[in-house]
Amino acid sequence: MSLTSDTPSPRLGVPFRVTISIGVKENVPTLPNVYLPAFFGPEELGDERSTVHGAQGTLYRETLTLEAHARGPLRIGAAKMDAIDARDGKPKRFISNDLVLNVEGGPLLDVWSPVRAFLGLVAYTLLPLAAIVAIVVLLFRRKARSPRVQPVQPPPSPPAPVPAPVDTLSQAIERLRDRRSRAAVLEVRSAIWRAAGASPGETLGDVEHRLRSAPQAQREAAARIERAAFIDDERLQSAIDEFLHAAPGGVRT
Amino acid sequence: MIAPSPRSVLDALAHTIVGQRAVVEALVLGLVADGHVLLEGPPGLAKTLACRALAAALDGSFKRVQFTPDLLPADVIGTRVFDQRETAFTTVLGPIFANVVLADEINRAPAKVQSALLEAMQERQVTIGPQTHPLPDPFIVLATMNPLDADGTYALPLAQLDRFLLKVGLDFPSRDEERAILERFATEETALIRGAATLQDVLAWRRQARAVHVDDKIKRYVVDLVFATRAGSPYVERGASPRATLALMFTARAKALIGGRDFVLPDDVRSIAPLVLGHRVAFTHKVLIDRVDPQALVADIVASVAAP
Repeated sequence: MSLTSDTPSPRLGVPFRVTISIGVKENVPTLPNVYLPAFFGPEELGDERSTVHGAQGTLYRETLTLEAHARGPLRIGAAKMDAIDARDGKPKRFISNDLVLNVEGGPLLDVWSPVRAFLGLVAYTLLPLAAIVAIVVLLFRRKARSPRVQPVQPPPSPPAPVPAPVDTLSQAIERLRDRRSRAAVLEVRSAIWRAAGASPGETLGDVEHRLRSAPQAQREAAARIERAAFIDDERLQSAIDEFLHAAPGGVRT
Repeated sequence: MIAPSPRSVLDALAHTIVGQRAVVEALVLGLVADGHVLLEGPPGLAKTLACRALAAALDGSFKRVQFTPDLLPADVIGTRVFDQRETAFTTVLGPIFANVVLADEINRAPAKVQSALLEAMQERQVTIGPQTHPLPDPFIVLATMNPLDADGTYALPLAQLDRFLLKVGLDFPSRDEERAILERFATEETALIRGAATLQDVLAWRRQARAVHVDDKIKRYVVDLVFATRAGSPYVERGASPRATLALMFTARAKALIGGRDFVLPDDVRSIAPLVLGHRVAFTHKVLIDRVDPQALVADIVASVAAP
C-alpha cells in the first residue's frame, strides 16, 4: 500500500496527481474500506478509481487530482484501509506512507509593471496639466477677490401634510366604492395594515394579533378585506360588498 | 344529513390525543392533501396513538409495521409463495395494502426496506413478481422516527425524506397537558373515536382541495419561499426542490379547506411552510459546528420572506 505523487514539487495553480496504490493477493471486486489521505489547502479537482485483476491478485488505484493555492511545504497524510489480514485472519488497519511536497512558484506575475506604467503617465502627462490648471485657478481667484454677498436663505417651507393612517384608510375605502377593483381592495388592505401598525409583509394572523385588544368589528373588517384580496375573480364583487357593508362599523374612517 | 368535514376528523383526534396540536393537524393535512406524514420525536409522545386514532376515525383498513434492523422488503410489500396443492406460485400481499399504514420507527430498518416502502408511497402500486398491484385509495403512510442520535437508527436519505409531504417534530407536553394525560389515561382505556368520516368523504375532500382557488400573489409567495431556501446561506448545502413547491401548494389548499375556505390565504402558506420545507433542505456541517437548530433556521428563512 503506497501513496505517490506525479511530482515532488507541484506548481502553484497547476493540477497534480496523488495516487494511492493497494495490492491485494486475492481477486476482490472492490475495496470498500479505503480512507483517503487527509490534506489541508489544496483543492480537489477529481478522484478516479481503477481495479486491475491479474495473476498476482488485485491492484487497486485511486488517483486524486489536486491543485495547490499556496506556496511552501504541503503535507498529505497517509491513506488507510481496514481489512482482514489473510496471514492471520485478524482485522487490521493498513496504513500507507505520507507525502511532503513542496509547492513552488507558478507563473510569476510582474505586479509592479502596471504601477510603473501609471507613474510614468502621471509624470509625463498629468503633472504638467495639473500645474497649468493650478495657475489658472490662482489667477482667477485673485481677480474674483471681492466682497461676497451672502445669499438670503429662504424660510423653511412647512412640511407637506402627511395623511394620518385613518385618513388614508377612509380615502382608500372611498376609492374602493368608486372603482370596485382588486387594486382598490389591495389599497384598502394596505391602509388597514398600516393603521394596525403592521408592515406590508405581515399576514392577517399578524394583524389580528396586533388588533387583539381592538373591537371585534375591526378584526372582522381586516378578515373581510383579506377575503376580497385573495378570492377568485367571480366572487370579488360580492366580497367587496361584504366589506363595504361592514366598513362603517368595522373600520374607523 | 350534513357530510362530515375534515374538522370532524380533527375533533376525533383531539378527543384522543392530549395536546400535540401540530401532530393532529399535520395528520389531517396529509389526509386531505393526499400526502404522507413523518413524525419525529422521542419515544412516548403518542406518535403511534395519533396514527391509530386517525385510522379509527376513518373506518378504513389499518396496518402497522414495526421497522426493525432485520426487516426485509417482502415483509412490507408482500411476496410470492409456492402453493403445493395448486402447484403454482401465489402472491401474499404485505401489510402495505391498507388505507392507513403506520411505519413505526422507520429509521430502524436498513435502506433497502425504507426504499421499498418509499417507492410504494410514490408509485401507489407494488410489483411482486410478474404482477403489479395497485394500493388502496385513499392510501396514506404515517411514519414515525426517533431522533437520529438514538442508538441503532439509519438516517433517511434526503431523496427519500422528500417523499413525505410533511414532517412534524414533536415536543414534550406542557405541565397542564401532562396532568390531563394522567387524568385521561390513568383510569380508563385509550378511547378511539370511530367512524368520524368515511373513505369516500376523504376522496371528496381531496377533490374539493384540488379546486381551492390560489391567487397569483400566493403562487409568487410560494415560489419566493422555496427560492429563499436556495439563497446561499452558509448553513444550507442544498435548498428545497420543485417537489417542495408543489407540496407547499397542495398543503396550503388543504389547510384552506380545513379552515372552511375555498381560497388560500398567505397565513395558510406561512403556517405550513416549516413543515413542508424543513425536511427538504440539506444543511451543511456548519450547522453542527455552530450548534444551529435546523428547524429554527427554516423558521428564519420563512420569516424572512414577506407575505403578499
